[in-house]
Amino acid sequence: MDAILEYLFGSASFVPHGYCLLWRPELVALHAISDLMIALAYFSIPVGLWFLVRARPDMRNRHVFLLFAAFILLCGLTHVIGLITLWAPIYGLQGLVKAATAIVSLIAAYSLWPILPEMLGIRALSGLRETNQDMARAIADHDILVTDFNAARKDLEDFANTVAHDLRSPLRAINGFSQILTDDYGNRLDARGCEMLDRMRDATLNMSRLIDELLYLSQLRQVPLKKSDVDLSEMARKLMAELRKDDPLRQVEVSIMDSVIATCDPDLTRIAIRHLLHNAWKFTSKQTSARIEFGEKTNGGKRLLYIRDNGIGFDMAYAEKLFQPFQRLHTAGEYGGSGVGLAIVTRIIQRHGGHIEAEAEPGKGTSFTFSL
Amino acid sequence: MAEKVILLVEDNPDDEALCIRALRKSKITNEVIVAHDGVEALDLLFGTDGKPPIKPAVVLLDLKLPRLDGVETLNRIRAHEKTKRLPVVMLTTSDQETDIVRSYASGVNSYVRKPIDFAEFTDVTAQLGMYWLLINKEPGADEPAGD
Repeated sequence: MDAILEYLFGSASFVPHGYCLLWRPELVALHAISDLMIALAYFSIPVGLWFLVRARPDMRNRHVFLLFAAFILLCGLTHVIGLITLWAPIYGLQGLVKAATAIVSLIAAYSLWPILPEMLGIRALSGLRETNQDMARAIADHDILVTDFNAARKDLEDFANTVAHDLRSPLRAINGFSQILTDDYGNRLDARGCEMLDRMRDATLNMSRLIDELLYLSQLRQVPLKKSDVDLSEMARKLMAELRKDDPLRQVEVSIMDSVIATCDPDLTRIAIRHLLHNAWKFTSKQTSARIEFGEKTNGGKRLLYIRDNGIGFDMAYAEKLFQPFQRLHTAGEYGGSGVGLAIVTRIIQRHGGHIEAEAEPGKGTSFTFSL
Repeated sequence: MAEKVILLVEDNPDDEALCIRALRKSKITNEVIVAHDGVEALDLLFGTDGKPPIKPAVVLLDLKLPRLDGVETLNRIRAHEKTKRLPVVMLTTSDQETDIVRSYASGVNSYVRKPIDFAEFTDVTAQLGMYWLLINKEPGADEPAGD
């Protein structure tokens, strides 16, 4: 123990550093005051760094700042000991503190290099100010866009309301008065005249359906999704039963895979599947042995649902057009429909983050594949 | 007891003609008083210029009306002591969810969307007439003479 203490704090065999300076007062004072001032300055730097790191928890590379704080603290300590060695020969302790300083300074220096590229990447304050101004401008532009967008959405909503109300009223009048004509004056018209009145009424109903579907399409983006686990097989079975009920004379072979479960909005999904099954039903109407299938498969690890039919199909050259509103690949006279159905299906599937594709061959059938 | 009357509030002459026609076709021969906007309807219900207020068995109220719209008219009807329990049916072209919610929030008794198809429209009108003129009982209505 004594040996260690003697080693650290020196013994009679060493002379104080002042001795080397021949105890010249001005030289001793120069060394002493310089060491003291360097030490004080060095001690103040870690305090500043410590506050900086404490105050900015968001700052990256905090460990480097703390390492430099320790390094400078130790540097300060070496000067304090240097000051003491002027009078007391504690060269052992001085050597240990120097060794500690050496190790910490090496680590600090080493730790600086990896973060240099990042530090160089930090923009100067003037650059930051410019970036801030750019961002403020971008935000202002964005605000204007949002305001424009909201105004446009409001316009669209007003338009939808107008369509819902004002475009339907004349339809009801045309339908109603043509019915009254048939009822009250039908005996004065020949069969062709009566048929024309019937066609007028059919046209009003078609347009009414079209208005309803368009309105629905325009509102689809805003309907909130309410997802739950849904048995799509059960859903498809019920929807097929409805189709059969409306058209009981048709013979269609239906194959629905059991327990196809998906997490989706049941109301919206029902509408999408109903449209797809209705299409399959419609486009197989001229087939002698019609077949409609619903099921799921996996493709490249992805789960896909499909609805297939062996109906009239279509030319794949027009596949792009299929999902856009008002696009039809068959004449209205042949197969009816508003041309909005598949646009609604697409939007519902997109709302679920899914994707739909069609594959077809004229005369062979159509297959819709989609994910939810 | 005087014959029950219907107050039809409708600004569109086509819809007015069709509605009256549908009522008549459904063998509902009760008098139909027509108001062409909300203000006119309230004048009839509250009585103005010395005319006594009318007491319809049901008000068929269009939603979209000039001056005072259907919901505002309904609010005034509900706010008035003498008419606050008056049966009011919103008979409209729109089936926008917001309109339905707004109407019920204001205390409508029923909300019916007028079908485009006149045959359906006639059916709906017949059911409405039957229900509000024959089946429904209002508070304080005269008791029938006997079974």
